[in-house]
Amino acid sequence: MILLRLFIEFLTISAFSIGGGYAMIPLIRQRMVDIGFLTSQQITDIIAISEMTPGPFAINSATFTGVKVGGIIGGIVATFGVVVPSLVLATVIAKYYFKLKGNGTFESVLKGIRPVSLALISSAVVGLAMESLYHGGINFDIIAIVICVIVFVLMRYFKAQPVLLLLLSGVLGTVLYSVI
Amino acid sequence: MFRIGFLTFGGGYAMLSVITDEFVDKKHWISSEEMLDMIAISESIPGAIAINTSITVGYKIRGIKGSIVSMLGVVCPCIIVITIVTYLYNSLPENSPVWLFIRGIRAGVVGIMLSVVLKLGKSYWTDAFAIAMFTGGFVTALMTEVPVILIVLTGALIGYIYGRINKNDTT
Repeated sequence: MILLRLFIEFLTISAFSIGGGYAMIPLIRQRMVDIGFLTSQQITDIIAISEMTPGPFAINSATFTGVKVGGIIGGIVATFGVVVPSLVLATVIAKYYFKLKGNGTFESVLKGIRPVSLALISSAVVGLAMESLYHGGINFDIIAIVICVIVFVLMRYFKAQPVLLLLLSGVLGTVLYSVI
Repeated sequence: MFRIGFLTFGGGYAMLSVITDEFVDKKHWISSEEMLDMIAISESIPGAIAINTSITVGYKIRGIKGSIVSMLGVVCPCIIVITIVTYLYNSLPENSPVWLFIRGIRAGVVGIMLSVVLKLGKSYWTDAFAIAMFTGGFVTALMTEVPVILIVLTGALIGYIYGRINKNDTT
């Protein structure tokens, strides 16, 4: 039963996120936290794990959630849930792409979805920031904010690799939190 | 026939450059123009970009069989790696120093995501329609409990209507 649930959840998540793995974050956040499969903290951890391991975020988060909820079989089932809509749609559209390319309706629907999708990702980032940088009241996590700013600057203005940045954040976290 | 032993870190976009390198530059199975089209397809349909691209590339080379095989090629290594990582993650003791490392990483993720969002959004700053849609979506997502799927569908509908109105204006 829980396996079926996993499959259907990830099938829906995948079918409604246009714009790649990051577009999936808000959906996964809302669905999984609502159901109680994952906590917000775990979502942040999944993003970190996905950045540091090979493979796309969408697959990694599905596998992670699946394994956590239903063991190895859960991982496989959830992953297939993500992949099935892609397999069907990508194959069909690869076939008819050149007909759709000039189609105004298709283009204008996408024009509406893309900024909205970006807005959803942004709001998920705000959610992540509230989790990781702030602990309620006037209780800001100064160390976390410092790490966040350093990573942001290095990534945006020096084009540093995300993997290296996350390792750096980990090391900074270990040192700063144990010293202070 | 079709082995994609992917070792790409950093999600879908990193993978795209590996795919391009392998199939366009080394094997010459597809042209770079076709590759760009496939990336465009993959970005405009639901699901993960890396998965979609591997499926369309596979389809292009060997039809439906090709798309299934290349999808499995991308997915299998991920399943194995993440399954192991998940077990490690779950078995971490409460007071392990690794959690300090993870706390650092949680903060770093926010910085990375911020930068990603700014990069993805750079083509929208000059487009009033896109800015309006973005603001609407952002406020709705942040202030209300409206399901994400509904927000996406509303975006699609508004885009469609807006497209129709514009078309009538020009003709």
